[in-house]
Amino acid sequence: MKRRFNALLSQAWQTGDERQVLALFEEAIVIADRFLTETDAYEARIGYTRRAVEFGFYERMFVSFAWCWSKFLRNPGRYSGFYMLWQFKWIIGNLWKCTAFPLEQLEGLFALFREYCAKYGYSPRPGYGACHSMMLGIGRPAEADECYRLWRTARRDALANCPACERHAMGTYYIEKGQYRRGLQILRPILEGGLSCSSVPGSTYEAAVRAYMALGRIEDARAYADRASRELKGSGSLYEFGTLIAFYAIANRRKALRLLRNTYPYVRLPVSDWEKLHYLVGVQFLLDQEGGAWRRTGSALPEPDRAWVRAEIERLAKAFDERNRNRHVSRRVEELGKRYAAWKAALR
Amino acid sequence: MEEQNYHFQVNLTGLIDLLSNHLYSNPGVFVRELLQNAVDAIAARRRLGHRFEPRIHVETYSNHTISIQDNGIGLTRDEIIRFLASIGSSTKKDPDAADELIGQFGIGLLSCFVVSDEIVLITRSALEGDSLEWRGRPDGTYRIRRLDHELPIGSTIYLKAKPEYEELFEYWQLRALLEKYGKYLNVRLTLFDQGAEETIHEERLPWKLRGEEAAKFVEEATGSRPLDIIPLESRLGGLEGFAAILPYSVGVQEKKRHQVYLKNMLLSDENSDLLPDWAFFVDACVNATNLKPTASRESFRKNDLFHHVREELGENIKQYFKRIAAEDRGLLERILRVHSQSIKLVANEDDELYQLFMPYLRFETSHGEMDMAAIMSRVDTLYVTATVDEFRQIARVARAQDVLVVNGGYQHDFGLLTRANRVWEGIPVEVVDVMKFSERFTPLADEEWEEVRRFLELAGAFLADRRCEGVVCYFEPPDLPVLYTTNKDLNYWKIVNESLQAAEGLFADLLGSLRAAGHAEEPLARLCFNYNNPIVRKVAECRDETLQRRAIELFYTQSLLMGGHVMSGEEMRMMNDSLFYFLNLGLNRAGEPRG
Repeated sequence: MKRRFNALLSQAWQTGDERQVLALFEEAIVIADRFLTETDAYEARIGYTRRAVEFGFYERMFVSFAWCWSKFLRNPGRYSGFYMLWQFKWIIGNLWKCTAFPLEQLEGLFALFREYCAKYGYSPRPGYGACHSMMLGIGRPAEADECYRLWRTARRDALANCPACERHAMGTYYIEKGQYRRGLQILRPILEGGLSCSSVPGSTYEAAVRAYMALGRIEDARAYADRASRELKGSGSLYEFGTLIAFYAIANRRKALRLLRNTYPYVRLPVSDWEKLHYLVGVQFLLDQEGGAWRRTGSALPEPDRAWVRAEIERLAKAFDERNRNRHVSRRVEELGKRYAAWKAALR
Repeated sequence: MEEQNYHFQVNLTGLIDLLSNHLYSNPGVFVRELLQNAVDAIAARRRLGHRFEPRIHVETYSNHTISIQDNGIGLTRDEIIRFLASIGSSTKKDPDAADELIGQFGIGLLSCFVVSDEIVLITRSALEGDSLEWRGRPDGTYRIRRLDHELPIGSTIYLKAKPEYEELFEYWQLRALLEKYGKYLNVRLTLFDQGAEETIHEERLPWKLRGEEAAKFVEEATGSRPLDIIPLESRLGGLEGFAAILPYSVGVQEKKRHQVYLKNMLLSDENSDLLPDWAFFVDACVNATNLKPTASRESFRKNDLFHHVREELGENIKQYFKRIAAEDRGLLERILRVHSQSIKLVANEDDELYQLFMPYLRFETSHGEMDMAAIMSRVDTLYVTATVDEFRQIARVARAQDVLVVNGGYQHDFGLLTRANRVWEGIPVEVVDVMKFSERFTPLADEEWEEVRRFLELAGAFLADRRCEGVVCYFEPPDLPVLYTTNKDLNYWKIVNESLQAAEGLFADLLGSLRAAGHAEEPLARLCFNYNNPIVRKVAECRDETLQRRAIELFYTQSLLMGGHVMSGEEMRMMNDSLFYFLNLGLNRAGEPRG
């Protein structure tokens, strides 16, 4: 069994297809739970959590982490407190993107994270960083500003995100707030190639597209859209693909269709509601540009089910609004529609 | 308060140590840096319109000392102070001259401090008359003095090896380094050792070779003959060369060994990023003139031009495959045999290559291994499993039903197979839901349902706790009593359960919320009893419920075992208990032992 376990993990790390990676890790975890040691089960889950974050499968990430956290609490000497808190960062940074989790429980998570940071002598900085993103996402801008302030003033230590990720978060914060020039100024070191990590600059390029389009700098937007589509890969970038599909729907139809063909299968995977919603809004915009008849491009792409896309957008927006107890996400979807329509006018 | 401006203080020794000992990957690069400076100096003198025979002389002396002499432009006192003694300044930052020069960062000379404690330069500039000597040390101090005698125009560098690098200054090592970096330079390079003179120059530039000549060159260098040679060219990058298709299969993670020259000077013989990632089945040999090197000059800067060149080279490889597909099918098949995994990766990356390669690629199917053209000639719908495990569950039954199912569980295969209708447009692709596979089995007749009703109720009660449903139907082969198929989420469900059992407090609440949010309790597995199988019929018709329960346990656990599923301790015990129960029953019926 140990041999099979090792083989499954080894294959899971080498495989790129999200569905296969999940299946391989899950089988390894079940084997470890039944026949191997707790440490084996822990190690397999740590890997699973990591890949799940990479793929944008935040519910799965949480299920796996919850088990590790409980084992850590029972036996804190056996597992690394630092690593647990490091993964806890992923939880608080992403769980709000799934409608299944109520706000009170999410807020409880932030409090718990701060409690354990204090207990292990780490700065609460990453907690504030995650909190400001969540507050922006759920439509509580005043609290987002306050969290942003706390984040920027809290001490940086080993638990903080890498400089590239932090700068990306700072820049996109201003872009989200409509302060495009300031956002781009902050993002400049990333855009110029001075700062990078595993997730930056791919996602930063996408933010730059939005900012440059808002500023009417079409050629800059186009350059960053091309870079983004070259850099971004996999279901973990579904949010960004939504923006790119909408951009190319006007700027380069063939490219939009190619992107759609390569990314559309991801919506059937357990990606987060937030990423899926943003992606589908981009897809819907492309479908609207295609008119009533789906024109083939030699790509053999079957037409996405328009009714399903529309219904799914409505369902997800409603679920977010109910969870957030406001109409922020529905409004956001409407604004995205308007933004893309404005892009259409600008690009033509 | 009075304001005053200050300058940053730089720890020069530390900075020189940092640049000289940590920027370069091996100490031998000082030879490349010196050759490069010499070549650039010669190019600069040519720009002045001087007529001269360009040359670089390298000479060894006793006591592990060497000199590198060129008849390039040389340096004035002012240039020495501005460029040689100022880290980060370079004589080569003139944008008009940049295309002809190799270096431009002003740090190349520092690599000499890796191997030597002192750099001595004597020089006379083509621009003014003084002959000068400059001595620099790694502690940041230097001395300049005017020489009494007049030197010829050019520069000579003297280096004495540190004790730990003395071997680099010995003839054989030095010769090897000169040959490695400088044998293709278009300047005559001569090594003088103990009175002997040797020109290090190779007329035949490998990146200009094509076809058989290039194949022979690779064979001589590596000991193995490539399957074929792909010409490479990028006009924007000023790049030419070839890619040799390796005669053995390699993994995507394997270290790439592209030989990359910049203006005839070896940049790296282990370059890994000039070609697209998918092209890991070739080794390239190229020379570029327009790409810019990084500060360490061991790779290229990743600017837009670099990305463009990379794409262009990828395009060269694709065009090659298109050509051989049309002209040399035998060669294509040979390449596919050796590099099937690489080609699958390539085909996944690119639509054109996908169309080109797909018919020839081989896949595991329920009817044995077949190439894609053969598979598609046999099916109306292409059935693909997402995992090896799912394929294993249904392959035998699918074959018996004469349904061709392709295993998409191996690396790259799933992505390739699910796009098959791009080539075979009329044939839909269906990812097999193995749970639903049994829906194609023949259902029982209405009157037969009554016969199995009680049996199914017992099975249902047993299986419900396992998120499994029981069904009875007819399927092939008859010797298979049961088929256990699972939804891909079954293992995830088990993991959720484990987490729920382990978690407390807030985490338990969050898991509860997740579960409540519509992840319904639908079955995640199905146990299909085969009514073609005589044992199953007997059990279903049997009126002894204890016997039926035991038989259901045995069918269930046996199906897990046969399907290669992970069995829990409880399931293992159950299998043993039910097996022994029937063994005991049989033995009892056989009567008392003789004796």
